[in-house]
Amino acid sequence: MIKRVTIHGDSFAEPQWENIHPTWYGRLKDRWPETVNYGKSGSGPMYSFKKFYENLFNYNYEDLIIFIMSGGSRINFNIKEAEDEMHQWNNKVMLDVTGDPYIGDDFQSKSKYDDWMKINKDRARFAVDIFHDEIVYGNWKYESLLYAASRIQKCKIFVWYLEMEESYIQTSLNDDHFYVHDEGLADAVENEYVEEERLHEDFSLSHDLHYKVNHLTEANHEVMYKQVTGFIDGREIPKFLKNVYRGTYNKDEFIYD
Amino acid sequence: MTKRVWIFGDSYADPNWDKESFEHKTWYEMLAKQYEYKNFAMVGTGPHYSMKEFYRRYKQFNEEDLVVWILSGKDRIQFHLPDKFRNRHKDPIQLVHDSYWDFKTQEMKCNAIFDPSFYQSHKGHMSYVMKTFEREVINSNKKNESFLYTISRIHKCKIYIFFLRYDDSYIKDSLNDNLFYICPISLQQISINEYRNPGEPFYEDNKRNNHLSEENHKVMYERIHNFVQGIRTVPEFKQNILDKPDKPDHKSERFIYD
Repeated sequence: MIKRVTIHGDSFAEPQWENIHPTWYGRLKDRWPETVNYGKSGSGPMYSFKKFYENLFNYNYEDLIIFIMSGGSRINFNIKEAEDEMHQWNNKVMLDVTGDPYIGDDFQSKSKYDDWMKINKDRARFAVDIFHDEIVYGNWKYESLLYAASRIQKCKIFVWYLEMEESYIQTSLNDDHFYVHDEGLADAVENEYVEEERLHEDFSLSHDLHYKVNHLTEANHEVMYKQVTGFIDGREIPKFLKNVYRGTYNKDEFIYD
Repeated sequence: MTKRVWIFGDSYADPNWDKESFEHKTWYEMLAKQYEYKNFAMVGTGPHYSMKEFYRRYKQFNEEDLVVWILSGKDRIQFHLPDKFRNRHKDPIQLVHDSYWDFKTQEMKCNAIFDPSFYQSHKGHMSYVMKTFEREVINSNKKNESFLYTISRIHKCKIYIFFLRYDDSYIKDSLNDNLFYICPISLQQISINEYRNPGEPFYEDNKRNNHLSEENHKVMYERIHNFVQGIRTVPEFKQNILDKPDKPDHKSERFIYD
């Protein structure tokens, strides 16, 4: 019987968003008061796994661990100077050393960042180069460790991916203790818009950053809650709702991360 | 039915390391007689090196494949050695031996016999790599063995793993079955146990083929063979069969095991 819930992930789990409607993790906390949420906007698995490694040997059959596996290329660089903007800096460093267009780069302390990069850019590039293959295959190995942990610790592990192609296991090893959901969260966000909005030439997921919590409508927060509880209770696991939201355009709003 | 064997690892499986000095058959040569055989092991390397070879190949594995892994030191990081620093005595493998990250002092330590000019120009970069990826390096063998475990589930290939140090394993022997097996004794311990008087600290000058005597090459082969054949009998590694390690020919600060 589950007593504790631990949530790891990025902005899809970050609890600091403006609380304009109930959230999936809030609903989980109502059911399991011992819920800890380490979700942090802009972070990647490398950040999330620091906590997981620390706690791994303490998990047992009373634990439910929820992972949102975001981009494997979100490296957690060694940057003391970044302070509260660590993940924004991390993603910008990755952008600057690899030219990866996927990652956002908007943050406050830009001049401090530029000073840091003058000294450290070459070192950061060297780090990415030396661990290139481990970064490419990173999420496949992280999910493998989660799978092994579910066997050994006997805890239950639920995984969402931001993009399903970052999973190697996909749904092939799903059982009572381990579950990878077969819909990527990025697709879920896009698909909840009504079709005419999605097809609009100015459509962008970033427009509604401040009108939804964790990028999703209240209806899909409820679906996420039911996906997790469906896994735990052995009930049907629902799909994300599609075509349920009409967006609110504001082109100046910022990206989702 | 197993048709092919793939081997990844370090000096315990390297087919080229000091080969001409020994006459007896090795464990991997015995396997090579039975199966199509590919051996990517290289002396002095760690999983950081071997995984690169594995990543290129594992998608083709199926129920006809046997994969044998030596999971050696997780901290053996394969840094790049630029061409201008390379010569007969200095290559990327030697660099793994002669440089290591001190987890306590958070410093890159370098053996004085390697090129000091290389360290002067690259120590800062190497330190930065380790500071960024330190947590991942510490936990890398947990991820490696878990990855191999899931590969065995998904591809239905057989995977047999030896650890250089058994404490590096998270899974240990808890998930052993007919597709996946972690040997519950470390290779380092098997090597030491061959001696009646190993000495403290243990050091030898690599006078055995792949650090093992002929008897234990045979045992290693038989253990893998039995796993493949589904034979439950697991032969024990031989102990106390040698007197004491040969003295090294010269004083060296190099690592004991490679």
